[in-house]
Amino acid sequence: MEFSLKIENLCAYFGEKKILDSITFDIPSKAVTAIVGPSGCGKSTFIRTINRMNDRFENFRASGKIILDGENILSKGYPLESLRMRVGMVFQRPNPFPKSIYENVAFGLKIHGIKNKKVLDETVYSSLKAAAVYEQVKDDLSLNAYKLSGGQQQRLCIARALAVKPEVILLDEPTSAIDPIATKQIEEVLERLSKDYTIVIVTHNIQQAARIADYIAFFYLGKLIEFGKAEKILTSPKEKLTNDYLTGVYS
Amino acid sequence: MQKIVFFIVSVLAIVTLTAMMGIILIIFVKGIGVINWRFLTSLTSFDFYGVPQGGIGPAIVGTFLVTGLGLLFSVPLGILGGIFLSEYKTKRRLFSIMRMSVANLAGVPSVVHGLFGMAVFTVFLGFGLSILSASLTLSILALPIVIMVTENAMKNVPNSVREAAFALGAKRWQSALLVVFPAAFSKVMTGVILASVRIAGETAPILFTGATLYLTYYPHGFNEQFMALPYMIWGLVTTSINISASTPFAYGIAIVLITLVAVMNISVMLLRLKMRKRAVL
Repeated sequence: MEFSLKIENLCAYFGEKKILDSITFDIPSKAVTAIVGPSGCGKSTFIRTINRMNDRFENFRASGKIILDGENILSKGYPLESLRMRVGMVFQRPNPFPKSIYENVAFGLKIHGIKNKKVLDETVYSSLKAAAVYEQVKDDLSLNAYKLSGGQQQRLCIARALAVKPEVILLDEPTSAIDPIATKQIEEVLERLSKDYTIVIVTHNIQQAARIADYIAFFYLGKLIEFGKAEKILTSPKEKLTNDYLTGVYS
Repeated sequence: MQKIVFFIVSVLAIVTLTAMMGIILIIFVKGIGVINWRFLTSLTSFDFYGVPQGGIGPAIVGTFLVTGLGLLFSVPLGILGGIFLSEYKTKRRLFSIMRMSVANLAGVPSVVHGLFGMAVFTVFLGFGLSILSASLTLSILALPIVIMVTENAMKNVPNSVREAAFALGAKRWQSALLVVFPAAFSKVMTGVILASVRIAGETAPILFTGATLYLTYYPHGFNEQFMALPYMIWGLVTTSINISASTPFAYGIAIVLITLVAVMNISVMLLRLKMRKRAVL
């Protein structure tokens, strides 16, 4: 079994408040790992720490290690731009740029210096196809992204993340603002993508985790309570806390 | 209660509109007789009795030149300043002081700008009474306006697009210039046009830095004096040899100025409508 990311003793603080407490586990490659847990348990903070998006906040501090390809990405000198090319992110609310569909997907390539039109065209085409949105937008790639529906915008955001060819894709509750039919389409996309990419998805929807996850990590109040294969966690979890959450005792 | 408030507000609106229409109407009536193609394009001249012959060609050219140059000096700098204040970590004391200074500078009466311009550009730097001195002075007037408008427009762009850019590996300047600024562009342009309307009509900053009341030729270079529309109105009505004959001329100039302002404001509105259709932000 290969692991894309090894998390060692990760702690995270916003000011004095400890949000994550000694998280330690390994995220398997080319599989879907779902991070589940009640509101406020630190799931979003956790994945935002993986691509260091929390660095934007001045009072944020993280200790411990997150190892990607043998290097600790939390170390001070680690180049953020290259990290984010290898670890992409899709957000809770679709956030396409107010630009055309083509420009949205090409953006990641252009800011890293890729100007060759042929390369850009091909990458845009393949990313839109992989995100299962190409058929719906192929007639006019110059259309402003804001004119798409919510589900289409979110798939566009997935295409945008795919364009820079990351190893890992992080998704922070990507379907919580999307209607059920579009949600199903996005889940199908993620299942297909998990053959080639490592998917880490935060979800508060246990049914979704049941549908698409290969592995589940259960967080509670900033601690990792349990991690293992999805079927095992869902049918016979080791910890009582896990069991209570999954059966809806609290949410 | 609703009806009383509505009534008061309607009355005030009607009064305001009537007053505004009245002003424009009076000016038009008193000055329309003077307007013709010759008026707009010829050089100025006066006959023996002080009755203005010729036209206001140099004044129109002068106003355009000095406004255009003033914008050239202030807009690129102002936009960059506004982008910086909006996108970079600027919560520290130093930047609060900077912001306050910009706001203060925007509120300073323009005659103070004129004095400053005279002291620094005309005298100290030796540019003399010239288009250069005047446009530099006007650019100092326009600069805080452009900075504030740009910063506000940029801050109004939602953070979600910035996060999307950073998550793709964009550096801060790439996010600012390639994502946030294009999104804020129409608001910034609106502000720039409003700033240009403001400086086109200013008299005090150009008073001591290069505007003159009477030139018999078009200026040949940026180091020469020039005529300007607002200054000319004042000159005709107060210092000309034959004030009663010059006054209709002044009304004519007022019509030109109002028309210029109206055209620019309408173009602002049209621009915003057009931009709204393209990018929904």
